[in-house]
Formats: sequence, structure tokens, C-alpha cells
Amino acid sequence: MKLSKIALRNINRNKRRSLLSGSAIAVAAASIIFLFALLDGMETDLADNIQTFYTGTIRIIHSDFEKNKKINPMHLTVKDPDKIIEITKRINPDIQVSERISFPARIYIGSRYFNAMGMGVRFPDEIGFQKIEDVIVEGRFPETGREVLLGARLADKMGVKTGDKITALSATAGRGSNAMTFTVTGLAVFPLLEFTNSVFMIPLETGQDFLKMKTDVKELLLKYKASSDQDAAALIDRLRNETEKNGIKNIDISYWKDINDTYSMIAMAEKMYMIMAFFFLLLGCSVIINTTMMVIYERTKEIGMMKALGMKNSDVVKLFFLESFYIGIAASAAGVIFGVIISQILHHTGINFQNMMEDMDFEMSTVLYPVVTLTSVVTIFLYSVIIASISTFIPTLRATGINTVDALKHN
Amino acid sequence: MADNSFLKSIIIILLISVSASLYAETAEDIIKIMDEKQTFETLESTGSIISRDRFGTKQSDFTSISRGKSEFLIEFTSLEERGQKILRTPDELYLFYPDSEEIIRLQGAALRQSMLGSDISYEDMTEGTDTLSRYDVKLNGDEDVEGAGCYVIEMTAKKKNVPYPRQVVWVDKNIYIPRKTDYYSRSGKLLKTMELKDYKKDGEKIILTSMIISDKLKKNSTTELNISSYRINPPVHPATFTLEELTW
Repeated sequence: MKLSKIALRNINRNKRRSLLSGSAIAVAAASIIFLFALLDGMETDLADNIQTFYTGTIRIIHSDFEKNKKINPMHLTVKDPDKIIEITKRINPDIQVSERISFPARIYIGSRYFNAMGMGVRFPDEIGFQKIEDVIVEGRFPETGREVLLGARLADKMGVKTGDKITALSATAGRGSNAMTFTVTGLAVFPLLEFTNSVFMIPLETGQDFLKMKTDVKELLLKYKASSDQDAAALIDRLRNETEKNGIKNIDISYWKDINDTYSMIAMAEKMYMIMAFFFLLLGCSVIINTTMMVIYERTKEIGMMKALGMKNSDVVKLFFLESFYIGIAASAAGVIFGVIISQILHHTGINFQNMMEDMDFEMSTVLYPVVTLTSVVTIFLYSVIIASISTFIPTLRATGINTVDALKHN
Repeated sequence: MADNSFLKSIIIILLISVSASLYAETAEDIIKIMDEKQTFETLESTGSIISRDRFGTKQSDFTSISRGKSEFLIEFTSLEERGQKILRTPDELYLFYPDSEEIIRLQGAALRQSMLGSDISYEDMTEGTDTLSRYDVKLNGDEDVEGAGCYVIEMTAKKKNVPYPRQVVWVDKNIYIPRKTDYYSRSGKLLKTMELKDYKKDGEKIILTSMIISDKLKKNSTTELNISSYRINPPVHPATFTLEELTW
């Protein structure tokens, strides 16, 4: 009789025990699939948010801004943005460009004041760049002049509604200060809680007038689907050369992964989670080790008999290995399928982390959508099967050490 | 006879000087005289604030009107800030910006914010001359500042709502003006320094016409405050220091 047949027969001999061993692996595999789907979802979400709201895929700012950013150097602006946009579009017409002026401000309403983050943007450009029309929950986005779109929670905090007026005070590019009154035309709920809590958006030209910036902007964000980091680096090199050739000075062109630390932290966390997954599976395998040890104890007489009939120690090991291997395959497959189903359901419904993120300034959306990738499915399936199979070696070694005569006497 | 009258004059001057110096022996008296010399029924002046730091130099011009110890109105006239006004009343400080429909009342920590990016805060610029109502003062001996004999007076805030919990001021023994002031935090950290560069005497009154203020929390940053012209006791409309007038 072939060993594989004996292994399958043995699995069926005690279905409950086989189910118990398998379920531990299945639960571990399903949990890891979900954990990795959540991490992948988090990574995708972070990458998208950082590029949409903070840095673009490529960011152009004044070359001295970064080293002085602690003192809010509003005067360190990007000059002649139209020329830079023209150069960018010449290199790749599909690149989306967002001209922005972000500035810390204080909003005054009567004798009360609120800290906020202002943002001057070209609203028509932001339709493509950050899908601004999707975040508006009341009213409309500002069209021109002294109109403002408020983060809904900021508006709520200030007791302001559409049609009301607010006055913002900020430092200017002339290194002075200015205050301007705006009419609220709409309220927005951004994917980022930080934005909904503190951001107000005004038309770019109004921002330039308010902050005495003439036609300058604080930053130019370029967004496009870079096929790889090398592809982005090549584009940045080309942009640097072309802008320099055209006499544009004092600008810094950077790739988003070099600017923002959060994404690299998540990427690093992913490696940590791989190690955690390994231990998680080992924990699941402890059930297999345990049940295999019980099986070996129960089947000591049977092992003795097989050995008396001429079965080698290596065949005994193979037999138990095959039993675990089959259980591992079935359980891992079931666990992975279950994990994928759960993750896919949550991918459509989303998981709301708003309450958890209430006091956090984090570039992650309040609602996360787990993303299942083929790589993680295949990796976790193989990972589970291999660990489940290998884990039987420890108790099986005990079986090989059993004396045939003693085993036959065992009750 | 002529020699006698000359001698008499010398003696009278000496007696007045001695009695004046005897009179000004306590720190309270010194500060009171210093404040009185800088307090005007009304004063109109024009001047400029020149800020220098690692980013370059910036000049903002202004005109100001003050009445008594604690009413000031400053209007900026340079292109960048034209029309912006600061009004100080005995109890409040207001900002008016031409682009704003609302008058901003500054309070608390906002009073300590830098004015136009300079080393001077809104509170510094409009600080009144009623020092003794806000500070306990103590005479800590005397020192020379650039050749001028000075009283060294330590001032400790009576209330928490003052911008600087502790100040050390060097008051000129002869003309009772602050030659130098160091401003400290509650923990004893040096926050700012002020050095007087020039002044003008007008009868008993003294106008500080040039001083350098340095914010010690900023790197390589100084601000020069210059008064280019002034008029003592000009007629001032009674509504000048009101919110209604501010928006005009």
C-alpha cells in the first residue's frame, strides 16, 4: 500500500482530530490573509493620500523651504509656475498638475479664534487631482473671489454654515501679516480626518492676493502613474535639466517617497508583520504538533507493528509528514479562501477607523478598504503548508525512536 | 557781584541735582520718573521698523498717535502693509486689515506674536508707560552702559498677563531713560534685548527715537525701530482711539 494512501486513510480515521489540526491552520491562514489585505489596503491608501493631498508623485518647492519650514517661511515661494507647468507638460502631457499655497492660519469669529490650515488651489484642476467634487457634502466649491470651502468638522467646531463669513489671519510672503474675510460656499468631508478637522480651501488667485504672493505658488504637485521608482527618478532628472536650461532657479524637485516618512514606515512594518505572521502560524502549528504527538502515542502499537513488518524509520517519518502535508494543504486552502472572502467583503464595505483616529494626525483615510493581492494569497498559502508540514518533524522523531518490541507491548 | 551770582547759580544747580538724586533713590521713583518722561498728553510720530535676519532686510513704515499712558493707534504706510492698523486701548489690542470685514481682537499668547515678522511683538509696540501698575521693581545697584551711569532695576510682573515675567532695565541716572533692557521668561530664559541708540529731548520730555530689539529665540535677528519725526501735544479727535474710527 502506498504511503500517501495510508496517510489519507489515517486522516479519515479520526476526522474530528484532523479537523481540529486543520482548523488551527485555517484560522491562522485566514487571519494572516486579512492582516495582509488590511496592510496592503493601508499602503495603497497612504500612497494615494500622500500623493493627492501632500506631495504629489513629484513635488516642486523653493530650494530653501524644507530647511526653514519650522519658521513658516511664506516668502520662499516657487516663482513662474506657468513656465514650470509648460516644461512639465512638454515632457509628459499626461501629468496632472496642482498649484497650491498651503499656509497655517487663525480663523477669527467674533472674539473666538481657531487654528486652521489654509490652502489656495485651482478648483477646476483639483477635480481631476483630488476629485474635489466627491468630498463636498454641502454647497459648492468656491469659484472666484473671497469664497471658501470648509472642512465640515472645522465648520462644526466654529459653528459656521454655508453662507456665513469667516476671517482668516496669516503670515504673508512679504513677511508681514494679513487678514481677509471669506464667504463659506461649501462644506467638505475629506478622506483624511486632519483635513476635515482643520482645512479651508480658497481659490488660488485669492490666496495669492491674501498672502501677497503675486503669481507665485508655495508648491507644485505633479501626479502621474510612475511605473517604477527608477522611472520617477528619470523624470525628475529630466525636469531638473529642463528647468535649469530655462533659467528657473531655487527650486527643489523631489519624489514623494523621499519626502514622506510614513509610507516607508508602513513598508518597514510590512516586513515586521511577515515575521509576526511566521510566529502566528507557528502558534497554529502547535495544535498540529500537539495532535501528532497524541496520535503517535495512540498509535505506538501500530507503529511497532509496521516497523515489525519491515517499515523503515524514514517511511514512518514520511507517513506522518504526508498526513500533516495533506491537512496543511486542505486547511491552508480553506483558510486562504475564507480570508479572501472576508477581505473582499470588507474591500467593498470598508472598515471605519474614525473613532480610533480621532486625535491622530495621520495621512491615512478614516475608512480603509482591505486589498487582496495574488502575491499575498500565494505566499501565505505556501507559507502555511510548508510550516504545517515541517512542524510534524518534531513529534515524528519520537516515533522513529520507539523500540519495536516495546511498541508491540504498548496498550 | 557778577562772580557772586555765577557762584549762586552753580550752588542752586548743584542743590537741585543733589535733591533730585536723593529723591530718585528708590526703584519706584526712578521708574515713575522714567515713565513720566515718556508720557505725553498726545504724541504724533512717523517712523519705520527695519528687520534684519538671514533672509534679508525688510522695512515697514508707520505713523502713530498716542494719548496718555495706554492709548495708541498705529497705521502702516509702506506698500506691503498699507492701511493696516493697530489700536491699543487701556484694556484691549485690536488689529484692522483693509481686506478684512472683521476687526481682530488680540488676546493671550497672540499678543506676543511677532509684528510684521520683526523682533517686536504687538504687545511690545503698544506697551504703555504705566510700568508700576504691572511690575514690582527693585534697585539692584548701578552699572555703566556705553559710558552712561545707570541704575540697574529688576522688574517682576505682578500679574500673569504680562508678556515678560521679568525684566532688567538700565535707567540712565541723569536723564531717566532706559539705556538697555533685558526681557526674561518665567524660567529665567533671556527672550529679548533692547538697546537704546538715540533719543530726543523736548523740555522735560524725552522721545526714544532709535532702538534695537533682538529676539533671542531667533537666530541672527534684529529689529531697528526708528522715529523720524514727531509732534508733541497735537490736537487729537476724541474718537481716534475707538473701534468705529479704526475702520475709517
